[in-house]
Amino acid sequence: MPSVSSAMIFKANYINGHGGNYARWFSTDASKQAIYRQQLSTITSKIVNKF
Amino acid sequence: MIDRAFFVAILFLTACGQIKSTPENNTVDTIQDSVKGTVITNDLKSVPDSGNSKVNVDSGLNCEELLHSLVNSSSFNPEVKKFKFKVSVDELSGGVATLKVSMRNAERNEDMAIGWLKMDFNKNKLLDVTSDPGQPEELKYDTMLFKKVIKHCGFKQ
Repeated sequence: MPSVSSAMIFKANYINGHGGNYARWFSTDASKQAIYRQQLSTITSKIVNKF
Repeated sequence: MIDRAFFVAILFLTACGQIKSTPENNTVDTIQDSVKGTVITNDLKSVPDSGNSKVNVDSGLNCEELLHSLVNSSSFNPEVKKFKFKVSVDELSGGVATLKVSMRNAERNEDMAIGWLKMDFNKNKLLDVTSDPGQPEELKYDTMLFKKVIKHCGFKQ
């Protein structure tokens, strides 16, 4: 059953399966992974209580 | 007996050929489908007017190519622009188009988002909303290309 929690669990397992390299989700190319990490680092996280 | 063995061998080889060809055909179909699925189809017309644009927008570019040229010539993250990327329209409402900037992930056969832009036709603004949609970063862009994108992609002001 697709859900936010199941998607997060899948991604957590994916990251663990690749030695903690979360950017591999974006690309297998190391240079593209660096760009991905850079872009993610600029994102302002916000805590919300409604959608 | 030798004739029968020869006939069976011919049948076997023919059958192998048929089995082998099927997955190749499927692969070609998949590639074609994936390409078709990402292309924005619009009736494009050449625009006779000329401007100071660095990109030759009258050279038969389609909507997706024009969007790519607009982003590529803008002040959008130069690190991203070093790589091959694609720009597609994710949403269009209220005179604002949400553009998805993505790179191809060959392993997953999927376009992965690396940035999000908003193209405001009413205010003539190109905004980078990747970091914070609440505080978008205003980008510099080619004004002629901006107008061409609106016209060629059928965006309403």
